[in-house]
This record gives sequence, C-alpha cells and structure tokens, in this order.
Amino acid sequence: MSARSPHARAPHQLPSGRHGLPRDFVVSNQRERILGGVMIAVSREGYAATRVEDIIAVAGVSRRTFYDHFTNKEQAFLAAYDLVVEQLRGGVAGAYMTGDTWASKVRRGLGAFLNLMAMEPEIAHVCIVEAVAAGPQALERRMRAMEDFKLFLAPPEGTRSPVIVSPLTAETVVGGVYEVIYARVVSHRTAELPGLLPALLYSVLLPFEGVEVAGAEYRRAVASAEARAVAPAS
Amino acid sequence: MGTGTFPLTVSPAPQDPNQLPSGRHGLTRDEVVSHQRARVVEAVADVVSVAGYAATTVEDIIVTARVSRRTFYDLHSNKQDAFLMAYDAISARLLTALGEVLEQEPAFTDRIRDLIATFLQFFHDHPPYADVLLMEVMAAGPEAVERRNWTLDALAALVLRAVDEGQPKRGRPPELVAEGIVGGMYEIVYARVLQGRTARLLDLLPDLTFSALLPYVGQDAAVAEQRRLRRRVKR
Repeated sequence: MSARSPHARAPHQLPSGRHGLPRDFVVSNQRERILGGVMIAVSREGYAATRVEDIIAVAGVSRRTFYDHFTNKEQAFLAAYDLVVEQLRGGVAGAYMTGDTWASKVRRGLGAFLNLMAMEPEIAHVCIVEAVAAGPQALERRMRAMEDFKLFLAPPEGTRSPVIVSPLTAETVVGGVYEVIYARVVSHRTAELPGLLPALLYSVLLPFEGVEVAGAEYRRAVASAEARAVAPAS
Repeated sequence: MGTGTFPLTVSPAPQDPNQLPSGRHGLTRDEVVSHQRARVVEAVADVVSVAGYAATTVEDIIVTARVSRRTFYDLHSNKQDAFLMAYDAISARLLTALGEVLEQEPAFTDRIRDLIATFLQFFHDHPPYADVLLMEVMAAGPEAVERRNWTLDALAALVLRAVDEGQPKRGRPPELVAEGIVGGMYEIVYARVLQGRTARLLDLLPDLTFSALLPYVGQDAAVAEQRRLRRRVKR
C-alpha cells in the first residue's frame, strides 16, 4: 500500500492518484461507496430531500464518478435497496435452512430477520419506510419483496395442515407481520423487534399448524429469549 | 316567489349544491367555518385520489372545494396541513362507525364480523377515502405516517376491547395477535385498492372474518362463520 495521504479521508475511501489498484477493483469499490452513501444520506435526509450532492459527499466520490455509475438518485437508491434486500434474504435463508421442521425453519428465519433489522436500524428505516416514498419502481420492488416474504412464511406445498386454511390466510398473516414490523421501524423502535418473535411466530404458525404447535413454539421462543436475557448477567 | 315564467333570471349564478349562498344567509361564523372545512376535506380526498398527493396543489383543492384562496389559508398553512386535517376527519369517521358496531353488537363473533364488514363497506362506499387513509398517507410525510400508525393502534384497540369483553382470560393468544390481524387487513385492502379492485372489497368478508376469528374462537367456529358468510355473499 502506498503511504497514506495526510488529508482527512474516510477510512473506506481509496487514496486518490496512483495507487496501483486494478481498474475493476476501483470501479466496484466506487460503486459500493455510492451505494453506502445513498443509504446514509437517505437515512439522514429522507428520500425526498436527499440530493446527489449529499450522496457524493458521504460517499467521497466526485459528481462525475456518480454519474458514471448511475443516471440519477432514484437509480442509485434502487441499486442500494436491491443490495440490502439481497443480503437480508441471504441471512434469512441461511438461518431458515438450519431448521428441520417447517415450524423451526420459520422460527429461525423470522428470528434472523428481526435480529438483522435491529442490528441496522438506519438501514431498516431506509428499506422499510423510505422505499415507499421513492417512486413506482421502489413500490414495485416492495411488492416483490412482500411476495418473497409470503413464500417464506407460508408452509411448503403438500404440508399437511390441521386447519382448513382460506386462500387469503397467508396474505393476511404476512401483511400483519409486516405491519407490526413497520410500525416499530417507522417510530424508531427497531430495537423492540427481536422481543416480538414469540408472538409473531404464534401468528404465523397458528393457521397452518394449529394451536398446539403454535403454542409450543411460542413458549419455546419465550423461554429462549428469557435464557438469552439472563445469560450475560450470570 | 315569481310565477315560474323565467326562473333562471331570478336565481343567482349557477352554484354548487354544496356551496353556501354568498351574502347574508343567517348562519353563524362557526357554521360557515365547519361547512368550509368539510368541503376542503372532501376536496382533498377527491383531488388526491385522482392526482396523487405529490402532484396535488393548493390550487386544485380550492377549485374543487369552491373556497377562496384566502379562506383556504385561514384554515390551513399549506397542502400537507390540509391533507392531515382530511386524514383526521376521515379516520375519525371510520373509527366512529366501528365504535358503533361495538355499541350495537354484544356477541364476540358478531362484533368481529361486523367490524370487518363495516371497515370494508366504508372503503367500498367511498373509494377516495381509501386513497387518503391507505395509499396517499404514505406519501404525505412522517406526520401522516405517524397518524396512520395511530389509526392502526386504535383499530387494534377495538379488537382487543371485543376480546376483553367477550373471551375468557385463560388461553387467549398473545396481545400482539390483534395488531397483526388489523395490520393484515390493512395490507389486504391496500393491495386491492392499489390494483383498482375497490368494488370487490365486500367479497373479502368471509375469509377476513375467518382469519380474525381463528386465534380467538378456534378452527371449528371460525370455519362455520366463514361458510355462513360465503353462502350469504353468493346470494
């Protein structure tokens, strides 16, 4: 690595001038910086008030570089949104796969989702609240994310269900879970989310698994939350 | 009164039936203001449902409400303020209608069903209200979103009141379930309104009632009510 410039520089910013880094690396690094910059700028300013100037100031790239990568604020925002959703999806899917029954898969996947949101409250706010204000393309992506969310919370085809489920059940359950999460994120109470796992899990499992399984998973989730709360003190 | 030969010559300039006659009309100042406010509420709903919140202008609202610019600014500081007032007025109307259901119905299952039926009927009868309460509220800034949250809380409180008054304490599902039911209903109606399917909202009654009843009355009773309502919808 070349000597560090004495100028104040964000730690993630590449040194300017000759640095011997391959062009592809620089480009992808710039792109990532812009995407990170969009998230930070939008969480500070709100989507509507964010300007390209704010994004490039946070990202530490030139206006020219910004427009090499994106045509406008909306395109940059959508790319950042996609990236975050992709990472979130990866985290949730990974946790989901570790469960053996469908109920335990949902417990782990939903738990991972709530924890990831609580760990990154600003990003959660941008993706869940600001995305709604970011135009029709963002709204469409939100609809698609909801569809994925629905697939993940609905039992796989062919699972026997002790309850006669109505066609709207999955949509109601997913919409309900989404609204409960949305209300916490929008009012900056994202830290509460992991604590809601037991009750959300109950809501999701009840129509498909019946009251016995839903109740058992609820108690199990409450017990494991209590165990975690006690652990650091002991 | 004239003989009716030339009625047009004696009547004043053509006037919207909702508009107060100008000049002396024997109404108190308060009555005039509340009438103007009501016109602005309807105008906001009508304009926003056609143009969307972002593209709506104060000009659109005053033209539709038939109030003067001066009157508008006596009542509101700007477009957002007018929207928030319209939101409050409409959500109060919805909550009043739902509150009446609890006054009229004593039985738990009937209460839940009629709460949902009233909710669906409200938006079915007034599509612009659905645009204000469910759609455009998301685009009208953080204060509007806060009000939407408040409305959802108030709806969940109605369900919880019905549960409290009509269900045994033992074996009740977690309290958050009520919030989930209300949120789920909001999302379902939102999606239908977004797709322009407001006219079919009443068809949702049997399945939504099933989903709302299931956690409280169990599967058999929830299914029975769903089937009964399906037969009623078909008729």
